Amino acid sequence: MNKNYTGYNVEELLNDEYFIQWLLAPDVENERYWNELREKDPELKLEIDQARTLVMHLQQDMESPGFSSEDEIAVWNQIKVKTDKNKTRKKRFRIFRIVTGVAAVICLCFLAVSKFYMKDKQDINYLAIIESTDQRSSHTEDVELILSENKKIAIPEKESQVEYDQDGDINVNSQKVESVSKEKKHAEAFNQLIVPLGKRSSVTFSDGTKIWVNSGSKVIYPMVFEKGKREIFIEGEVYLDVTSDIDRPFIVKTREIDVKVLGTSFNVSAYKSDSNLQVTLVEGKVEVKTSNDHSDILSPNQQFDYDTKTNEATVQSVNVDNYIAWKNGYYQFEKQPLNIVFKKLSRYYGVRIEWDEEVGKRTCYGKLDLKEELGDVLNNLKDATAIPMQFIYKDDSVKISMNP
Amino acid sequence: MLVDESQIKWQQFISGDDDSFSWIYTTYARKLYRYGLCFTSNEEVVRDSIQDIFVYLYDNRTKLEFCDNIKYYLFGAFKNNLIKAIHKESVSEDLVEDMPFLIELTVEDQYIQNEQYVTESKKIEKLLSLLTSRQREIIYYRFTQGMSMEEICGLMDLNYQSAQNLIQRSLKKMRTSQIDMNLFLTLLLALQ
Repeated sequence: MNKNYTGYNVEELLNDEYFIQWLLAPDVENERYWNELREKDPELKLEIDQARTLVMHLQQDMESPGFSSEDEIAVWNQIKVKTDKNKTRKKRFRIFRIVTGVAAVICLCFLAVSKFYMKDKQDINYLAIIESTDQRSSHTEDVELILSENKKIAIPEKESQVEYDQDGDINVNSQKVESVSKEKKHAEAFNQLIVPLGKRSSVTFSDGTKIWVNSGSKVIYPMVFEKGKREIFIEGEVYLDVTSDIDRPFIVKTREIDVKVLGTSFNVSAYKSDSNLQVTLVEGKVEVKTSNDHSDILSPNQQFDYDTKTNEATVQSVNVDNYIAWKNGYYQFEKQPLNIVFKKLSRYYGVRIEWDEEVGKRTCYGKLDLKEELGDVLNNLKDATAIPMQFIYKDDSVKISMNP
Repeated sequence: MLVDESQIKWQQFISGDDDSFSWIYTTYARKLYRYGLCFTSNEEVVRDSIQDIFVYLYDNRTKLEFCDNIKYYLFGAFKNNLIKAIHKESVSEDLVEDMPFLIELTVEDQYIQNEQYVTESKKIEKLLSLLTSRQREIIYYRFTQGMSMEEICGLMDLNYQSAQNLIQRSLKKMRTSQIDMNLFLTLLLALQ
Protein backbone atom coordinates (compact mmCIF):
# COMPACT_ATOMS: atom_id res chain seq x y z
CA MET A 1 0.00 0.00 0.00
CA ASN A 2 2.98 2.28 0.36
CA LYS A 3 4.02 1.44 -3.16
CA ASN A 4 4.82 4.11 -5.67
CA TYR A 5 2.55 3.53 -8.64
CA THR A 6 3.86 6.34 -10.85
CA GLY A 7 4.62 5.19 -14.36
CA TYR A 8 2.61 1.99 -13.99
CA ASN A 9 0.85 0.83 -17.12
CA VAL A 10 -2.31 -1.26 -17.51
CA GLU A 11 -0.36 -4.51 -17.45
CA GLU A 12 1.54 -3.69 -14.28
CA LEU A 13 -1.60 -2.48 -12.55
CA LEU A 14 -3.43 -5.69 -13.39
CA ASN A 15 -0.59 -7.63 -11.81
CA ASP A 16 -0.84 -5.69 -8.58
CA GLU A 17 -2.74 -7.31 -5.70
CA TYR A 18 -3.97 -4.10 -4.15
CA PHE A 19 -5.25 -2.78 -7.48
CA ILE A 20 -7.09 -6.03 -8.18
CA GLN A 21 -8.51 -5.97 -4.68
CA TRP A 22 -9.97 -2.53 -5.40
CA LEU A 23 -11.54 -3.69 -8.66
CA LEU A 24 -13.01 -6.89 -7.28
CA ALA A 25 -13.74 -5.90 -3.67
CA PRO A 26 -14.02 -2.14 -3.34
CA ASP A 27 -14.23 -0.74 0.18
CA VAL A 28 -13.97 2.68 1.75
CA GLU A 29 -10.21 2.51 2.12
CA ASN A 30 -9.13 1.36 -1.32
CA GLU A 31 -11.74 3.55 -3.07
CA ARG A 32 -10.25 6.60 -1.41
CA TYR A 33 -6.70 5.52 -2.17
CA TRP A 34 -7.11 4.85 -5.88
CA ASN A 35 -9.37 7.81 -6.58
CA GLU A 36 -6.83 10.10 -4.93
CA LEU A 37 -4.15 8.65 -7.21
CA ARG A 38 -6.35 9.24 -10.25
CA GLU A 39 -6.74 12.88 -9.31
CA LYS A 40 -3.09 13.45 -8.54
CA ASP A 41 -1.55 11.71 -11.53
CA PRO A 42 -3.30 12.22 -14.89
CA GLU A 43 -1.06 9.80 -16.78
CA LEU A 44 -1.72 7.09 -14.20
CA LYS A 45 -5.41 7.97 -14.37
CA LEU A 46 -5.49 6.95 -18.05
CA GLU A 47 -3.90 3.57 -17.27
CA ILE A 48 -6.12 3.00 -14.23
CA ASP A 49 -9.25 3.77 -16.21
CA GLN A 50 -8.24 1.49 -19.07
CA ALA A 51 -7.48 -1.36 -16.71
CA ARG A 52 -10.71 -0.80 -14.89
CA THR A 53 -12.72 -0.81 -18.13
CA LEU A 54 -11.20 -4.10 -19.15
CA VAL A 55 -12.05 -5.82 -15.88
CA MET A 56 -15.48 -4.28 -15.79
CA HIS A 57 -16.33 -5.80 -19.17
CA LEU A 58 -14.90 -9.16 -18.13
CA GLN A 59 -17.23 -9.14 -15.15
CA GLN A 60 -20.38 -7.46 -16.38
CA ASP A 61 -20.59 -9.06 -19.79
CA MET A 62 -20.26 -12.49 -18.24
CA GLU A 63 -23.09 -11.91 -15.81
CA SER A 64 -25.81 -12.51 -18.39
CA PRO A 65 -27.96 -15.54 -17.50
CA GLY A 66 -26.75 -18.23 -19.90
CA PHE A 67 -28.85 -20.79 -18.08
CA SER A 68 -32.45 -20.19 -19.06
CA SER A 69 -34.99 -20.41 -16.24
CA GLU A 70 -36.66 -23.42 -17.83
CA ASP A 71 -33.36 -25.25 -18.08
CA GLU A 72 -32.42 -24.34 -14.53
CA ILE A 73 -35.68 -25.79 -13.24
CA ALA A 74 -35.50 -28.82 -15.51
CA VAL A 75 -32.06 -29.79 -14.22
CA TRP A 76 -33.20 -29.26 -10.65
CA ASN A 77 -36.15 -31.58 -11.18
CA GLN A 78 -33.81 -34.24 -12.51
CA ILE A 79 -31.65 -33.84 -9.43
CA LYS A 80 -34.64 -34.23 -7.17
CA VAL A 81 -35.76 -37.37 -8.97
CA LYS A 82 -32.32 -38.97 -8.70
CA THR A 83 -31.84 -38.08 -5.05
CA ASP A 84 -35.33 -39.05 -3.97
CA LYS A 85 -34.68 -42.52 -5.33
CA ASN A 86 -31.66 -42.86 -3.08
CA LYS A 87 -33.46 -41.26 -0.17
CA THR A 88 -36.09 -43.99 0.07
CA ARG A 89 -33.38 -46.58 0.07
CA LYS A 90 -31.57 -44.83 2.88
CA LYS A 91 -34.77 -44.33 4.85
CA ARG A 92 -35.44 -48.00 4.95
CA PHE A 93 -31.91 -48.65 6.07
CA ARG A 94 -32.13 -45.97 8.74
CA ILE A 95 -35.33 -47.39 10.21
CA PHE A 96 -33.70 -50.78 10.41
CA ARG A 97 -30.74 -49.34 12.31
CA ILE A 98 -32.93 -47.50 14.77
CA VAL A 99 -34.75 -50.71 15.60
CA THR A 100 -31.46 -52.41 16.47
CA GLY A 101 -30.43 -49.34 18.40
CA VAL A 102 -33.49 -49.40 20.59
CA ALA A 103 -32.93 -53.01 21.52
CA ALA A 104 -29.43 -52.18 22.64
CA VAL A 105 -30.49 -49.23 24.72
CA ILE A 106 -33.02 -51.32 26.57
CA CYS A 107 -30.37 -53.86 27.37
CA LEU A 108 -28.10 -51.19 28.66
CA CYS A 109 -30.85 -49.78 30.84
CA PHE A 110 -31.25 -53.13 32.53
CA LEU A 111 -27.55 -53.32 33.08
CA ALA A 112 -27.47 -49.86 34.54
CA VAL A 113 -30.30 -50.64 36.92
CA SER A 114 -28.77 -53.89 38.10
CA LYS A 115 -25.45 -52.16 38.61
CA PHE A 116 -27.15 -49.70 40.86
CA TYR A 117 -28.52 -52.47 42.97
CA MET A 118 -25.24 -54.34 43.01
CA LYS A 119 -23.28 -51.21 43.84
CA ASP A 120 -20.03 -52.97 43.17
CA LYS A 121 -18.45 -50.42 40.87
CA GLN A 122 -17.91 -46.88 41.93
CA ASP A 123 -18.00 -43.91 39.63
CA ILE A 124 -14.50 -43.11 38.60
CA ASN A 125 -13.16 -40.19 40.52
CA TYR A 126 -11.68 -38.13 37.72
CA LEU A 127 -11.12 -35.06 39.83
CA ALA A 128 -8.88 -37.08 42.12
CA ILE A 129 -6.83 -38.16 39.12
CA ILE A 130 -6.43 -34.55 38.04
CA GLU A 131 -5.46 -33.43 41.49
CA SER A 132 -2.82 -36.10 41.89
CA THR A 133 -1.23 -35.25 38.55
CA ASP A 134 -1.41 -31.53 39.34
CA GLN A 135 0.68 -32.13 42.40
CA ARG A 136 3.31 -34.10 40.58
CA SER A 137 3.19 -32.17 37.31
CA SER A 138 6.15 -30.16 36.17
CA HIS A 139 3.83 -27.50 34.68
CA THR A 140 5.82 -27.30 31.50
CA GLU A 141 4.84 -25.46 28.33
CA ASP A 142 4.81 -28.75 26.44
CA VAL A 143 1.82 -30.95 25.80
CA GLU A 144 2.09 -33.90 28.19
CA LEU A 145 0.83 -37.40 27.57
CA ILE A 146 0.79 -39.28 30.87
CA LEU A 147 0.63 -43.01 30.30
CA SER A 148 0.95 -44.33 33.81
CA GLU A 149 2.35 -43.48 37.20
CA ASN A 150 5.85 -43.34 35.86
CA LYS A 151 5.72 -42.72 32.17
CA LYS A 152 5.26 -39.20 30.85
CA ILE A 153 5.82 -38.07 27.28
CA ALA A 154 6.48 -34.42 26.52
CA ILE A 155 5.37 -33.08 23.14
CA PRO A 156 6.84 -29.67 22.31
CA GLU A 157 5.05 -28.99 19.01
CA LYS A 158 2.26 -26.43 18.78
CA GLU A 159 0.00 -28.92 17.00
CA SER A 160 0.28 -32.65 17.63
CA GLN A 161 -1.56 -35.90 17.00
CA VAL A 162 -1.73 -38.91 19.26
CA GLU A 163 -3.01 -42.15 17.78
CA TYR A 164 -3.92 -45.43 19.42
CA ASP A 165 -4.01 -48.11 16.79
CA GLN A 166 -5.78 -51.40 17.02
CA ASP A 167 -2.66 -53.35 17.94
CA GLY A 168 -2.20 -51.30 21.06
CA ASP A 169 0.63 -49.13 19.79
CA ILE A 170 0.67 -45.46 20.62
CA ASN A 171 1.98 -43.03 18.02
CA VAL A 172 2.75 -39.36 18.55
CA ASN A 173 3.02 -37.34 15.34
CA SER A 174 3.33 -40.60 13.42
CA GLN A 175 6.20 -41.90 15.55
CA LYS A 176 5.70 -44.88 17.80
CA VAL A 177 6.29 -44.03 21.42
CA GLU A 178 4.86 -46.98 23.28
CA SER A 179 3.65 -50.44 22.73
CA VAL A 180 1.05 -51.62 25.14
CA SER A 181 1.64 -55.22 26.08
CA LYS A 182 -1.34 -57.46 26.79
CA GLU A 183 -0.67 -57.52 30.52
CA LYS A 184 -0.78 -53.77 30.84
CA LYS A 185 -4.14 -53.56 29.12
CA HIS A 186 -6.58 -53.58 31.99
CA ALA A 187 -9.58 -51.38 32.45
CA GLU A 188 -8.16 -49.54 35.43
CA ALA A 189 -5.31 -47.96 33.51
CA PHE A 190 -5.94 -44.34 32.57
CA ASN A 191 -4.07 -42.03 30.25
CA GLN A 192 -4.09 -38.30 30.54
CA LEU A 193 -3.38 -35.65 27.90
CA ILE A 194 -2.57 -32.19 29.22
CA VAL A 195 -2.55 -29.40 26.64
CA PRO A 196 -1.26 -26.07 27.97
CA LEU A 197 -2.20 -22.62 26.70
CA GLY A 198 -0.82 -21.87 23.28
CA LYS A 199 -0.89 -25.48 22.08
CA ARG A 200 -3.38 -27.87 20.52
CA SER A 201 -3.45 -31.61 20.11
CA SER A 202 -5.63 -34.46 18.99
CA VAL A 203 -6.10 -38.08 20.00
CA THR A 204 -7.44 -40.88 17.87
CA PHE A 205 -8.66 -43.75 19.99
CA SER A 206 -8.46 -47.37 18.98
CA ASP A 207 -12.13 -47.40 18.01
CA GLY A 208 -11.51 -44.62 15.49
CA THR A 209 -13.05 -41.82 17.53
CA LYS A 210 -11.06 -38.62 17.18
CA ILE A 211 -10.89 -35.82 19.69
CA TRP A 212 -9.36 -32.39 18.91
CA VAL A 213 -8.11 -30.71 22.06
CA ASN A 214 -7.91 -26.93 22.31
CA SER A 215 -5.46 -24.88 24.38
CA GLY A 216 -5.65 -25.11 28.13
CA SER A 217 -7.42 -28.45 28.24
CA LYS A 218 -7.12 -31.89 29.82
CA VAL A 219 -8.48 -35.24 28.70
CA ILE A 220 -8.58 -38.39 30.84
CA TYR A 221 -9.44 -41.66 29.17
CA PRO A 222 -8.94 -45.37 29.73
CA MET A 223 -6.33 -47.33 27.83
CA VAL A 224 -9.10 -49.65 26.74
CA PHE A 225 -12.74 -48.70 26.59
CA GLU A 226 -15.11 -50.71 28.74
CA LYS A 227 -17.46 -53.23 27.18
CA GLY A 228 -20.64 -51.34 27.91
CA LYS A 229 -19.58 -47.77 27.39
CA ARG A 230 -16.81 -45.49 26.18
CA GLU A 231 -16.20 -42.84 28.78
CA ILE A 232 -13.75 -39.96 28.91
CA PHE A 233 -13.36 -36.92 31.13
CA ILE A 234 -12.47 -33.50 29.79
CA GLU A 235 -11.73 -30.07 31.11
CA GLY A 236 -11.38 -27.19 28.64
CA GLU A 237 -12.52 -27.37 25.04
CA VAL A 238 -12.66 -30.36 22.70
CA TYR A 239 -14.24 -31.30 19.42
CA LEU A 240 -15.25 -34.92 18.97
CA ASP A 241 -15.91 -37.10 15.99
CA VAL A 242 -17.32 -40.26 17.56
CA THR A 243 -17.50 -43.50 15.61
CA SER A 244 -20.86 -45.15 15.68
CA ASP A 245 -21.19 -48.02 18.12
CA ILE A 246 -24.71 -48.74 19.20
CA ASP A 247 -23.59 -51.12 21.93
CA ARG A 248 -21.21 -48.67 23.49
CA PRO A 249 -22.54 -45.15 23.92
CA PHE A 250 -19.79 -42.56 24.16
CA ILE A 251 -19.95 -40.42 27.29
CA VAL A 252 -18.03 -37.21 27.82
CA LYS A 253 -17.90 -36.19 31.45
CA THR A 254 -16.95 -32.74 32.66
CA ARG A 255 -17.08 -31.20 36.11
CA GLU A 256 -20.69 -30.15 35.76
CA ILE A 257 -22.26 -31.94 32.80
CA ASP A 258 -22.23 -35.30 31.03
CA VAL A 259 -22.72 -35.63 27.30
CA LYS A 260 -23.92 -38.97 25.94
CA VAL A 261 -23.67 -39.86 22.26
CA LEU A 262 -24.09 -42.79 19.94
CA GLY A 263 -21.91 -41.62 17.07
CA THR A 264 -21.61 -38.06 15.98
CA SER A 265 -19.61 -34.81 15.76
CA PHE A 266 -19.80 -32.12 18.40
CA ASN A 267 -17.92 -29.54 20.40
CA VAL A 268 -17.70 -29.30 24.18
CA SER A 269 -16.45 -26.14 25.83
CA ALA A 270 -16.03 -26.60 29.59
CA TYR A 271 -13.20 -24.44 30.86
CA LYS A 272 -12.84 -24.23 34.64
CA SER A 273 -12.34 -20.47 34.33
CA ASP A 274 -15.49 -19.94 32.25
CA SER A 275 -18.82 -19.49 33.97
CA ASN A 276 -20.69 -20.96 30.98
CA LEU A 277 -20.32 -24.46 29.56
CA GLN A 278 -21.42 -25.18 26.01
CA VAL A 279 -22.08 -28.25 23.92
CA THR A 280 -22.52 -27.60 20.21
CA LEU A 281 -23.81 -30.37 17.98
CA VAL A 282 -22.74 -30.59 14.34
CA GLU A 283 -24.12 -33.95 13.36
CA GLY A 284 -26.03 -36.76 15.04
CA LYS A 285 -27.73 -36.71 18.41
CA VAL A 286 -26.53 -36.17 21.94
CA GLU A 287 -28.04 -36.13 25.38
CA VAL A 288 -26.66 -33.62 27.82
CA LYS A 289 -27.15 -34.13 31.55
CA THR A 290 -26.34 -31.66 34.28
CA SER A 291 -25.31 -32.43 37.84
CA ASN A 292 -28.81 -31.69 39.08
CA ASP A 293 -30.19 -34.37 36.73
CA HIS A 294 -31.66 -31.97 34.20
CA SER A 295 -31.24 -33.41 30.72
CA ASP A 296 -31.65 -32.14 27.16
CA ILE A 297 -31.41 -33.85 23.80
CA LEU A 298 -29.74 -31.90 21.01
CA SER A 299 -30.29 -31.96 17.28
CA PRO A 300 -27.71 -30.78 14.74
CA ASN A 301 -26.88 -27.05 14.82
CA GLN A 302 -28.14 -26.76 18.36
CA GLN A 303 -26.16 -25.56 21.29
CA PHE A 304 -26.63 -26.40 24.93
CA ASP A 305 -25.48 -23.64 27.28
CA TYR A 306 -25.11 -24.15 31.04
CA ASP A 307 -24.55 -21.21 33.36
CA THR A 308 -22.66 -22.57 36.37
CA LYS A 309 -23.53 -19.53 38.46
CA THR A 310 -27.30 -19.71 38.04
CA ASN A 311 -27.53 -23.43 37.15
CA GLU A 312 -29.63 -22.42 34.17
CA ALA A 313 -29.58 -24.58 31.04
CA THR A 314 -30.69 -23.32 27.64
CA VAL A 315 -30.81 -24.81 24.15
CA GLN A 316 -30.70 -22.67 21.03
CA SER A 317 -29.92 -22.90 17.32
CA VAL A 318 -26.54 -21.54 16.32
CA ASN A 319 -24.18 -21.23 13.43
CA VAL A 320 -21.91 -24.13 14.36
CA ASP A 321 -18.91 -22.72 12.48
CA ASN A 322 -18.52 -20.05 15.12
CA TYR A 323 -17.82 -22.77 17.66
CA ILE A 324 -15.89 -25.40 15.76
CA ALA A 325 -13.76 -23.45 13.31
CA TRP A 326 -10.88 -23.65 15.81
CA LYS A 327 -10.32 -27.29 15.02
CA ASN A 328 -9.44 -26.35 11.44
CA GLY A 329 -7.21 -23.54 12.59
CA TYR A 330 -9.72 -20.69 12.22
CA TYR A 331 -11.62 -18.57 14.67
CA GLN A 332 -14.91 -17.39 13.34
CA PHE A 333 -17.39 -15.21 15.13
CA GLU A 334 -20.55 -13.20 14.61
CA LYS A 335 -21.57 -10.19 16.70
CA GLN A 336 -19.08 -11.17 19.37
CA PRO A 337 -17.88 -8.69 21.98
CA LEU A 338 -14.12 -8.26 21.75
CA ASN A 339 -13.91 -9.30 25.41
CA ILE A 340 -14.59 -12.84 24.34
CA VAL A 341 -12.46 -12.66 21.19
CA PHE A 342 -9.40 -11.52 23.15
CA LYS A 343 -9.93 -14.13 25.84
CA LYS A 344 -10.05 -16.90 23.25
CA LEU A 345 -6.99 -15.58 21.40
CA SER A 346 -5.12 -15.36 24.67
CA ARG A 347 -5.85 -19.02 25.36
CA TYR A 348 -5.07 -20.14 21.84
CA TYR A 349 -1.69 -18.38 21.65
CA GLY A 350 -0.79 -18.76 25.32
CA VAL A 351 -0.11 -15.04 25.60
CA ARG A 352 -1.56 -12.80 28.27
CA ILE A 353 -3.75 -10.10 26.75
CA GLU A 354 -5.02 -7.05 28.61
CA TRP A 355 -7.52 -4.65 27.16
CA ASP A 356 -9.45 -1.50 27.97
CA GLU A 357 -13.10 -1.94 28.71
CA GLU A 358 -13.87 0.53 25.95
CA VAL A 359 -12.33 -1.78 23.35
CA GLY A 360 -13.64 -4.94 24.97
CA LYS A 361 -17.28 -4.07 24.80
CA ARG A 362 -17.24 -3.40 21.03
CA THR A 363 -18.77 -6.19 18.96
CA CYS A 364 -17.70 -7.41 15.55
CA TYR A 365 -17.81 -10.11 12.91
CA GLY A 366 -14.72 -11.86 11.69
CA LYS A 367 -12.79 -14.89 10.62
CA LEU A 368 -9.20 -15.12 11.76
CA ASP A 369 -6.53 -17.48 10.50
CA LEU A 370 -4.94 -18.90 13.62
CA LYS A 371 -1.96 -20.22 11.68
CA GLU A 372 -0.68 -16.65 11.58
CA GLU A 373 1.29 -14.99 14.37
CA LEU A 374 -0.70 -13.22 17.05
CA GLY A 375 0.61 -9.81 15.95
CA ASP A 376 -0.69 -10.34 12.40
CA VAL A 377 -4.01 -11.68 13.66
CA LEU A 378 -4.50 -8.61 15.86
CA ASN A 379 -3.65 -6.31 12.96
CA ASN A 380 -6.10 -8.12 10.71
CA LEU A 381 -8.72 -7.82 13.40
CA LYS A 382 -8.09 -4.10 13.64
CA ASP A 383 -8.33 -3.65 9.85
CA ALA A 384 -11.43 -5.77 9.46
CA THR A 385 -13.39 -4.16 12.27
CA ALA A 386 -12.14 -0.61 11.57
CA ILE A 387 -11.90 -0.11 15.34
CA PRO A 388 -8.91 2.16 16.09
CA MET A 389 -6.99 -0.15 18.43
CA GLN A 390 -3.51 0.38 19.70
CA PHE A 391 -1.30 -2.58 20.59
CA ILE A 392 1.56 -2.37 23.06
CA TYR A 393 3.70 -5.50 23.11
CA LYS A 394 5.66 -6.32 26.26
CA ASP A 395 7.82 -9.33 27.03
CA ASP A 396 5.02 -11.78 27.65
CA SER A 397 1.83 -9.80 27.17
CA VAL A 398 -0.11 -7.48 24.90
CA LYS A 399 -2.02 -4.43 26.03
CA ILE A 400 -4.84 -3.22 23.81
CA SER A 401 -6.30 0.24 24.13
CA MET A 402 -8.35 2.59 22.02
CA ASN A 403 -6.47 5.04 19.83
CA PRO A 404 -7.32 8.54 20.98
CA MET B 1 -12.97 -11.75 6.55
CA LEU B 2 -16.73 -11.57 6.97
CA VAL B 3 -18.65 -14.66 7.83
CA ASP B 4 -19.84 -16.13 4.58
CA GLU B 5 -23.48 -17.05 4.16
CA SER B 6 -22.41 -19.83 1.81
CA GLN B 7 -20.39 -21.48 4.57
CA ILE B 8 -23.40 -21.44 6.87
CA LYS B 9 -25.59 -22.93 4.17
CA TRP B 10 -22.99 -25.61 3.43
CA GLN B 11 -22.79 -26.57 7.07
CA GLN B 12 -26.56 -26.79 7.30
CA PHE B 13 -26.69 -28.81 4.10
CA ILE B 14 -24.24 -31.45 5.28
CA SER B 15 -26.09 -31.56 8.59
CA GLY B 16 -29.22 -32.67 6.77
CA ASP B 17 -31.07 -29.49 5.80
CA ASP B 18 -32.68 -29.77 2.36
CA ASP B 19 -33.50 -26.07 2.03
CA SER B 20 -29.83 -25.25 2.16
CA PHE B 21 -29.27 -27.68 -0.69
CA SER B 22 -31.75 -25.70 -2.78
CA TRP B 23 -29.98 -22.50 -1.81
CA ILE B 24 -26.64 -23.88 -2.95
CA TYR B 25 -28.17 -24.91 -6.27
CA THR B 26 -29.85 -21.57 -6.95
CA THR B 27 -26.69 -19.71 -6.00
CA TYR B 28 -24.16 -21.68 -8.00
CA ALA B 29 -25.90 -23.59 -10.82
CA ARG B 30 -25.97 -20.62 -13.18
CA LYS B 31 -22.35 -19.74 -12.52
CA LEU B 32 -21.37 -23.33 -13.21
CA TYR B 33 -23.40 -23.34 -16.41
CA ARG B 34 -21.65 -20.25 -17.72
CA TYR B 35 -18.31 -21.71 -16.67
CA GLY B 36 -19.10 -24.98 -18.38
CA LEU B 37 -19.85 -23.24 -21.66
CA CYS B 38 -16.28 -21.97 -21.68
CA PHE B 39 -15.13 -25.52 -22.30
CA THR B 40 -17.75 -26.67 -24.79
CA SER B 41 -20.69 -25.38 -26.75
CA ASN B 42 -22.54 -28.62 -26.07
CA GLU B 43 -25.19 -27.42 -23.63
CA GLU B 44 -26.46 -30.89 -22.86
CA VAL B 45 -23.08 -32.11 -21.62
CA VAL B 46 -22.82 -29.05 -19.37
CA ARG B 47 -26.31 -29.58 -17.98
CA ASP B 48 -25.57 -33.25 -17.30
CA SER B 49 -22.41 -32.38 -15.42
CA ILE B 50 -24.25 -29.91 -13.21
CA GLN B 51 -26.78 -32.61 -12.49
CA ASP B 52 -24.05 -35.14 -11.68
CA ILE B 53 -22.30 -32.81 -9.27
CA PHE B 54 -25.40 -31.95 -7.30
CA VAL B 55 -26.63 -35.52 -7.14
CA TYR B 56 -23.17 -36.51 -5.90
CA LEU B 57 -23.27 -33.82 -3.21
CA TYR B 58 -26.68 -34.88 -2.00
CA ASP B 59 -25.90 -38.59 -1.94
CA ASN B 60 -22.65 -38.07 -0.08
CA ARG B 61 -23.63 -35.21 2.21
CA THR B 62 -22.88 -37.09 5.42
CA LYS B 63 -19.36 -37.81 4.25
CA LEU B 64 -18.62 -34.22 3.28
CA GLU B 65 -16.55 -32.01 5.53
CA PHE B 66 -16.73 -28.40 6.59
CA CYS B 67 -15.92 -26.31 3.53
CA ASP B 68 -14.77 -22.72 3.78
CA ASN B 69 -14.71 -22.07 0.03
CA ILE B 70 -17.79 -23.49 -1.60
CA LYS B 71 -17.37 -21.77 -4.94
CA TYR B 72 -13.85 -23.08 -5.36
CA TYR B 73 -14.88 -26.57 -4.32
CA LEU B 74 -17.81 -26.62 -6.75
CA PHE B 75 -15.80 -25.17 -9.62
CA GLY B 76 -13.08 -27.77 -9.14
CA ALA B 77 -15.44 -30.73 -8.86
CA PHE B 78 -17.49 -29.49 -11.79
CA LYS B 79 -14.48 -28.92 -14.04
CA ASN B 80 -13.21 -32.46 -13.40
CA ASN B 81 -16.57 -33.99 -14.14
CA LEU B 82 -17.13 -31.87 -17.25
CA ILE B 83 -13.72 -32.47 -18.80
CA LYS B 84 -14.16 -36.22 -18.39
CA ALA B 85 -17.63 -36.03 -19.93
CA ILE B 86 -16.36 -33.94 -22.86
CA HIS B 87 -13.61 -36.46 -23.59
CA LYS B 88 -16.14 -39.25 -23.60
CA GLU B 89 -18.30 -37.37 -26.05
CA SER B 90 -15.58 -36.47 -28.50
CA VAL B 91 -14.57 -39.03 -31.06
CA SER B 92 -11.03 -37.84 -31.59
CA GLU B 93 -8.33 -38.23 -28.95
CA ASP B 94 -7.94 -34.61 -27.87
CA LEU B 95 -5.12 -33.95 -25.49
CA VAL B 96 -6.00 -32.10 -22.29
CA GLU B 97 -3.72 -29.25 -23.33
CA ASP B 98 -5.82 -28.73 -26.43
CA MET B 99 -8.93 -28.24 -24.31
CA PRO B 100 -10.55 -25.12 -25.71
CA PHE B 101 -11.53 -22.25 -23.47
CA LEU B 102 -13.92 -19.75 -24.97
CA ILE B 103 -14.91 -16.49 -23.43
CA GLU B 104 -17.91 -14.91 -25.04
CA LEU B 105 -18.79 -11.43 -23.93
CA THR B 106 -22.48 -10.73 -24.37
CA VAL B 107 -23.60 -7.15 -23.85
CA GLU B 108 -26.59 -6.95 -21.57
CA ASP B 109 -29.77 -5.33 -22.81
CA GLN B 110 -29.33 -2.33 -20.56
CA TYR B 111 -26.04 -1.44 -22.25
CA ILE B 112 -26.97 -2.22 -25.84
CA GLN B 113 -27.87 1.38 -26.65
CA ASN B 114 -24.48 2.59 -25.41
CA GLU B 115 -22.32 2.56 -28.57
CA GLN B 116 -19.06 3.13 -26.77
CA TYR B 117 -19.72 0.26 -24.38
CA VAL B 118 -20.55 -2.10 -27.22
CA THR B 119 -17.41 -1.14 -29.18
CA GLU B 120 -15.23 -1.61 -26.10
CA SER B 121 -16.78 -4.99 -25.46
CA LYS B 122 -16.15 -6.16 -29.00
CA LYS B 123 -12.56 -4.95 -28.85
CA ILE B 124 -11.91 -6.83 -25.64
CA GLU B 125 -13.44 -9.97 -27.06
CA LYS B 126 -11.15 -9.66 -30.07
CA LEU B 127 -8.14 -9.29 -27.78
CA LEU B 128 -9.18 -12.37 -25.83
CA SER B 129 -9.48 -14.38 -29.02
CA LEU B 130 -5.79 -13.75 -29.68
CA LEU B 131 -4.81 -15.55 -26.48
CA THR B 132 -4.27 -19.27 -26.03
CA SER B 133 -6.90 -21.31 -24.23
CA ARG B 134 -4.85 -21.52 -21.05
CA GLN B 135 -4.29 -17.77 -21.12
CA ARG B 136 -7.98 -17.13 -21.50
CA GLU B 137 -8.77 -19.60 -18.75
CA ILE B 138 -6.50 -17.88 -16.25
CA ILE B 139 -7.80 -14.41 -17.15
CA TYR B 140 -11.31 -15.76 -16.60
CA TYR B 141 -10.50 -17.08 -13.12
CA ARG B 142 -8.51 -14.02 -12.10
CA PHE B 143 -10.78 -11.22 -13.32
CA THR B 144 -14.19 -12.61 -14.16
CA GLN B 145 -14.44 -14.90 -11.17
CA GLY B 146 -12.13 -12.87 -8.93
CA MET B 147 -10.32 -15.94 -7.63
CA SER B 148 -7.15 -15.87 -5.59
CA MET B 149 -3.83 -17.15 -6.91
CA GLU B 150 -4.16 -20.12 -4.59
CA GLU B 151 -7.50 -21.11 -6.05
CA ILE B 152 -6.26 -20.62 -9.60
CA CYS B 153 -3.27 -22.85 -8.96
CA GLY B 154 -5.61 -25.53 -7.67
CA LEU B 155 -8.03 -25.36 -10.59
CA MET B 156 -5.34 -25.27 -13.28
CA ASP B 157 -2.83 -27.52 -11.56
CA LEU B 158 -0.06 -24.94 -11.67
CA ASN B 159 2.47 -23.81 -9.12
CA TYR B 160 2.42 -20.20 -7.99
CA GLN B 161 5.26 -19.05 -10.22
CA SER B 162 3.84 -20.66 -13.35
CA ALA B 163 0.46 -19.07 -12.66
CA GLN B 164 2.07 -15.66 -12.21
CA ASN B 165 3.98 -16.04 -15.46
CA LEU B 166 0.89 -17.14 -17.34
CA ILE B 167 -1.09 -14.10 -16.21
CA GLN B 168 1.73 -11.77 -17.07
CA ARG B 169 2.12 -13.25 -20.52
CA SER B 170 -1.62 -13.01 -21.13
CA LEU B 171 -1.80 -9.38 -20.09
CA LYS B 172 1.26 -8.53 -22.13
CA LYS B 173 -0.21 -10.22 -25.19
CA MET B 174 -3.43 -8.29 -24.78
CA ARG B 175 -1.53 -5.08 -24.28
CA THR B 176 0.65 -5.44 -27.37
CA SER B 177 -2.28 -6.64 -29.46
CA GLN B 178 -4.24 -3.61 -28.41
CA ILE B 179 -1.39 -1.30 -29.39
CA ASP B 180 -1.16 -3.09 -32.71
CA MET B 181 -4.89 -2.75 -33.19
CA ASN B 182 -4.83 0.93 -32.35
CA LEU B 183 -1.87 1.49 -34.66
CA PHE B 184 -3.64 -0.44 -37.37
CA LEU B 185 -6.78 1.63 -36.93
CA THR B 186 -4.82 4.90 -36.93
CA LEU B 187 -2.99 3.82 -40.07
CA LEU B 188 -6.28 2.93 -41.70
CA LEU B 189 -7.73 6.32 -40.82
CA ALA B 190 -4.58 8.08 -42.00
CA LEU B 191 -4.70 6.35 -45.33
CA GLN B 192 -8.27 7.33 -45.97
